[in-house]
Parts: sequence; structure tokens; C-alpha cells
Amino acid sequence: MSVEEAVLVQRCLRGDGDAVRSLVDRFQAEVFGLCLRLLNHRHDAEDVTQEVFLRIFRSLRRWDAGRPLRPWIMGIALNRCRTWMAQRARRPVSVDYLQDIAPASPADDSAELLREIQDALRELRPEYRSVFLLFHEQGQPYEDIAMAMNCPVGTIKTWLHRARLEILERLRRRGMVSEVGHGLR
Amino acid sequence: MDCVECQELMQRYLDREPAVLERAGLAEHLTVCPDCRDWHAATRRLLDGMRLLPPPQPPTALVERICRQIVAERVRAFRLRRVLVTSAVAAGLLLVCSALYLGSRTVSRVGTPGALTRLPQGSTPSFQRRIEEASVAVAALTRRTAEETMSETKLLLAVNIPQAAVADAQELEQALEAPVQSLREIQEGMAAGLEPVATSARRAVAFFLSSRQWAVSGGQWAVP
Repeated sequence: MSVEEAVLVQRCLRGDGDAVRSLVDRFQAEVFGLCLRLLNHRHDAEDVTQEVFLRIFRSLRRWDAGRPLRPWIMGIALNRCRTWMAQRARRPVSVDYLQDIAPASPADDSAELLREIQDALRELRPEYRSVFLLFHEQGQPYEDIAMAMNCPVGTIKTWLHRARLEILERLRRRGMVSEVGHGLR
Repeated sequence: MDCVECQELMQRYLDREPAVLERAGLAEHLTVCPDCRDWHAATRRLLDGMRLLPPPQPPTALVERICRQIVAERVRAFRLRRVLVTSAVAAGLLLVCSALYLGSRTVSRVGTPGALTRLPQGSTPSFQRRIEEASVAVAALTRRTAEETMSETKLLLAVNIPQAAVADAQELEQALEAPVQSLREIQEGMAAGLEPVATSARRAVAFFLSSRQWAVSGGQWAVP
């Protein structure tokens, strides 16, 4: 646990406006990034990000100061995304497939690779996708991901391994990587 | 190096240990083992692809929107708490009125009319104690209302003032408009919320005075 985080939370609980803004500022990019990747929809991601922060401030008193703040916040974000996805599954939705794809470069296949990876991510099970994004995109350690997802570290490693294999398998099927031999197991 | 060792290194590479690619013997193994070479190429391709993912950029106004929502929710919670406290105060006053009413009725029914001019010794202190307890409860509730109002007002003031520095008087006026508006709303809300309490209090006092007057004039009970 960081002392700085505990102080920041205490200030937020006392109603310090600067502290509230500082906490939102510090975590909004990560929360929004995760929501966007999990929901694949910019407006939904914005709405869920707002909900996540409202929930954070509603339950800030219940945060255990002995544990790091980031996994606790990301755990709330994951839960909100899961709920949102469950609600959205019951109604038709348009997906912003092209919302953040880099402009295509004629010189290489970067844009195609990027699109294939984004599509592969969308096809992953939500828990695999969450673990993969938290590890590879947000650079979080296994322990923090385990705390956020409320799972043992071993489960997180297994899910991450399976997520990598599924993405690589899709890339292989789409001709983005050559046949992978004994690595795919 | 064999394939098992090579795969282990590839896993560590995927686990953000790029230095393992410099391990002695890896390059030689990759030149002779096509399976490991393909696996190595695929993992590199995957990590390269992940680096191409543009970092999601939250909208610039998102922080503002979130902070505004947090303030609005606090105001709502404050109003709800105020209504609850006001109701508690009103309930306390109602209890006082009930205690006074029941006390006066009990006293008036003791004994036959005209035969008794004084109550038994044990009754009066119990009645007085009830009145004192009710007074203490009302005073505590009123104090709590005042303290909560003060703390919530401080909180709203602190959150509503924007962070940016204020350059001149006009900017200052604009900057303070939101907190001033909040305070005005609080003032109006408090006045409206406390009105029923004040009315109840006035009625309770009037009722107490009239019942006391009646008891004294009827000769049933004399307040010591």
C-alpha cells in the first residue's frame, strides 16, 4: 500500500475537491481504456467510466487501506463492465469496430495486424480478454490482476496463457503468423 | 539448449522479460529448430501488434463530468440526510407532545373528582424525568442537525470551487457562482425543511401551556 494513496483517499473522504479531482485524473485513463477495450463502444465506455467513479466514491470508506488502490479500482471497473455486457447482451448494439484503428500504412501490414489483434481480442472470453488487456496493455503485475479479478494468481496465469494461444491461433488462421509448431499447447 | 528450455524462455519473454532473448544458446537453437523459430516469431509478432494498439484517449471533458456527477450525488445525499434528520427531530417533538398529553391525562384520572388535590409522591418525579429526557433528546437532535449542516456545507464548498487560478474579479465571480448557488439551495432547503419542525414545536409548547392551565384550573394537579 502506498502512503500517498492512503492520504489521497483520506482527503477525498474529508471532501477535498482537489483530492477528488486528483484521484479521478490519476485513474481515469486506465479505467476508460479497460472499459473501451472490453465494451468496444466509446459512448458505453464513457458512461461506464462515470459509473465506476461514482461507485468508487460511494464505497471509498470501505476500501481496505492495507491493500493497493489500483487493483481495487480496476476490480470495480471490471465488475461494472461485466454487468454492462450482460445487460447489453439482451439488446442489439452497434460496435465501433473502426474507432481506434491507426491509419493504414501501405509499406507494411501493421494496420492489418492491428485489426486482426483487435478482432481476436473481441472474440476472447471476457475473463481472458480482461487478463490479457490488464497484463499486456496496462502492464499490471499478476498479483494486482489477481486482486482486481478476485482470483488466485495461478488462475490468472492460466487465463493469460490461453488468451495468448487463442489470439495466436486466430493470427495463424488469418495468415498473420506462420504455422506455430509445438509452442501452441 | 533444447525445445523445453527455449519455450520456457519464450514464456518469460511474453511475461515482460525481454532480456531472456539474449540468453546464450537461444539463437543457435532457433537456427536449427523450425518449430521454436516459428513460436519465437509468433510471440514477437503478438507483442509488436500489442504495441501498435493506440492507447485509448478519454475525452478531455470526462474528468469534469465525473467531478460534477460526484458533487451532484453528494448534494442529493446531503438533502436526503437533511430530510431524515428533520423527520427525526419532528418525531422527537411528537414524542414530547405525546408524553405531555399522556402525562396530563394520567394525572387527571387519578382518584375521584374533587376528592384528591395532590398526586401520590412517586408520580411527579417520574413525569418530570420524562419531560427532561424528551428535552435532552430534542436538544441532541437539534445539535446533530446543526453539526451535519455545517460539515456538509464545508464539503460542498470545497468540491465546487474549480481548481484553476482565478485571474480577475469577473472570473472570481464566475468561479464562485456554483458554490454560491449550492449554498442558496441549501439555505432554501433548510428553511423549508425546518418549517414543519418549528410549527410542531410551537404547537407542542401551546399544547403544554394549555394543558397545564387546564390542570391547574381544574384543581386536579398543581405543578410543584
